[in-house]
Amino acid sequence: MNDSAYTTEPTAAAQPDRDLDDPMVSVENLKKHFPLFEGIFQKKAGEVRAVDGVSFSIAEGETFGLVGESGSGKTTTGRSMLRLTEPTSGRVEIDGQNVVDLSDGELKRFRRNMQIVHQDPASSLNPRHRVKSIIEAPLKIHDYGDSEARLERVEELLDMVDLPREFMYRYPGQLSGGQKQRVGIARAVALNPKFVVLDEPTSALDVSVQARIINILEEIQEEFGITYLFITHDLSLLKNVADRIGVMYLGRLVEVGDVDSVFGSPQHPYSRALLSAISTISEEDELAKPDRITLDGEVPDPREKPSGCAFRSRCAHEFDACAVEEPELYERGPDQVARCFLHDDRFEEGAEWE
Amino acid sequence: MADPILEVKNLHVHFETHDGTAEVINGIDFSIDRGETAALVGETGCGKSVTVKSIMGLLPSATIPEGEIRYKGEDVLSLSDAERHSRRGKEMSMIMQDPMTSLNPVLTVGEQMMDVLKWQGRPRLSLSKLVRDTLSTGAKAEHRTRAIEMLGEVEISAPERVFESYPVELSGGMRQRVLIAIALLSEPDLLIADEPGTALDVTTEAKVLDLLDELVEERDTSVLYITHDLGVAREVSDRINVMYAGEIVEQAPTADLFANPQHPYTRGLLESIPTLSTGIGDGIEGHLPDYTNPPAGCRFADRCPHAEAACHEAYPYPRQTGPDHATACHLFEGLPARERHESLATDPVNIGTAPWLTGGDAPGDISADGGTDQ
Ligand SMILES: Nc1ncnc2c1ncn2[C@@H]1O[C@H](COP(=O)(O)OP(=O)(O)OP(=O)(O)O)[C@@H](O)[C@H]1O
Ligand SMILES: Nc1ncnc2c1ncn2[C@@H]1O[C@H](COP(=O)(O)OP(=O)(O)O)[C@@H](O)[C@H]1O
Ligand code: SF4
Ligand SMILES: [Mg+2]
Ligand SMILES: [Mg+2]
Repeated sequence: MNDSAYTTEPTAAAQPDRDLDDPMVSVENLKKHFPLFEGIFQKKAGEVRAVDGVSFSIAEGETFGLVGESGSGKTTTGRSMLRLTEPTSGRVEIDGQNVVDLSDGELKRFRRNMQIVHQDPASSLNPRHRVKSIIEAPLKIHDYGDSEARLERVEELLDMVDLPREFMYRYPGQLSGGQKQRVGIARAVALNPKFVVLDEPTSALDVSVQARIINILEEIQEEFGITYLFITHDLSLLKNVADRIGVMYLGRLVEVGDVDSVFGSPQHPYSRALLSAISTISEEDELAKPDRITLDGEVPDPREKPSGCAFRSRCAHEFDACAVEEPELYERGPDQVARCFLHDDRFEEGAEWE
Repeated sequence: MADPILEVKNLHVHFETHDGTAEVINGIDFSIDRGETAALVGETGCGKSVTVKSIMGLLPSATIPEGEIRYKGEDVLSLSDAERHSRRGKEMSMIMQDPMTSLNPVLTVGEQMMDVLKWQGRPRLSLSKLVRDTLSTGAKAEHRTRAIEMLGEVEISAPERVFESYPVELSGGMRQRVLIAIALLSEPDLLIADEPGTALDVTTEAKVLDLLDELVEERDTSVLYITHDLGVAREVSDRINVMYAGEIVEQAPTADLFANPQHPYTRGLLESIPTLSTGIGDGIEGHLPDYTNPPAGCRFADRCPHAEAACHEAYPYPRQTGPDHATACHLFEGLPARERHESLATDPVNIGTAPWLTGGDAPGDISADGGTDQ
């Protein structure tokens, strides 16, 4: 099956010993449906199933990467996990605690364990507050020491994100995009959270700045064992930062696995198309990805759940079964599953893969 | 240069701002041959859009204190507005960076396309809509067919429906394709594409690139492709011009640039790009200089890991470092790539040789981790 030229079959030895039996974060059948209203009486006129039954786990100190095109539900997944938007249903366990069950008061206290870094550093920092009070805010909310202890912590955090301590007295408007994002990171890790959602933390930045931010995030993770959910469009970036990844399409995960398996041998036609579209800067990388697959066909309207497989309108492999029922996640390796009928033994005849 | 369709020589572009004069573009030179695709690459704010808007004559608030822009041998800066207008569309046409703002929201896609076909090469502001419509009834059916055909060519699946739609009714990817269709309608000899893929998803961007490629092949169009992504530039272009802070710091044929990147900025960029096989580098500390108070010597000196005192003083004019490779950095020796810098070359600055060429293991040495110099 996996005999194409770009396959880099993961060896058993290369598998890190990952404790997924006792994960730091686990998501089970998470759903978030946004109701749509119309008319002057705001009658409910349907819903967008932004996240529609997502499950995955992240081992402590690891990074789970979430990739997929615009509108596929990545941000909504991250925000529902932190209850920044209320999930419709599902279970989200962080450090053994089901976050979905927490009362408002409990949630407020639990927030110190879970934080987010937003995509757009400019709009996520209050322009009228100095850097010091921005980073200090979560410390104050959670009663972290006296003002002296907090100042010390702010200095420590600035060192951590590689910003001069004097920057404490600047306003966000006086910082470059990369510097603002460092402030966002310092604020997110101020209380030593267990889990941080990084929602496209570098996509507003130039590559030369991105590389420094990524290095800082990795240093912090290594030192404090933080668990990350890393959301991005950029597959080459994900290959470098993630231990395991999930590929999202229309609110569902269509492939999940460890990063080497999914990149080495993508098992869902959509993952394969995504990988094939990466632009590279070397021959070596060119050979390491599938041949270009262009996706034809329309992206389905998110308000109307398509019958059968959600990807079939754009899939080159579509066959009879795809329109009838929705494929489940089929096991494709020690840590790799893909939601595609091509991997169902029942359909060996109709299915063409490779 | 064999047969350049476009030549830019010693172009300077300034803006008046409340902090003083912003000297954004500082003496750039490049050219594009017929049928060639050239890329202009650099990070946000380095002056890519200003450069191409100057070429198109779309920067009324800018001043061009010095420089020459030759299109098919003719100096376009000396033309009148009307004459320049007449060269837009049929001769050169541009896909703007932002698909949302460059389509007119109150006109249907069809109306905007018909407008291009009817009025290409003629100033349209002087006539009322009524007169325009009476004048053009004959050509109308033919134009409509042509426009719908073009929408099909940019792989819009329901071209008739899109023809009747308003821009808000289309997704981002579809808008971008409509813009491309409009730019190609008049079959320009030179197509300028300002980051056409940036607002798109990877799979859609890849498709747009393929499409441009195909159309260029068919029509022998010359293309100036603007991007901040060296990976995309590698895919689409024959030649690359790397821009930093309003100067072109390195130019070479695409294969040559990747095989032998020279300028510390180019190398820093390449090192920063996450790759599938070799990882992600350290990035480049710092940010672009202030254009109202640009550095006297090398504009990259504040961020350069190899900068010496001399770099902050002396202008590193572009020099010939290979038969078809020019680099603006004191680490390299070579004859000035431009005649106007000959006087500077009589007093060369010596800061030694690039460490990656002498086998030293210096910062910015991307060959050390199996990078790009195979
Ligand atoms: N507050 C909301 N009300 C209604 N629909 C919403 C809301 N927020 C998101 N959606 C819809 O949910 C779907 C998923 O959106 P989401 O922001 O999670 O996508 P994403 O994968 O993060 O996309 P991007 O890559 O563009 O950031 C989209 O169809 C979006 O329009
Ligand atoms: N109309 C204008 N007036 C003043 N400054 C401008 C104008 N247009 C661009 N600039 C400045 O010129 C520099 C280069 O901008 P631009 O060419 O848009 O960069 P990019 O390479 O990202 O396309 C920036 O500092 C920008 O702020
Ligand atoms: S001239 Fe000096 S500062 Fe500028 S790029 Fe070369 S070595 Fe660096
Ligand atoms: Mg998002
Ligand atoms: Mg631009």
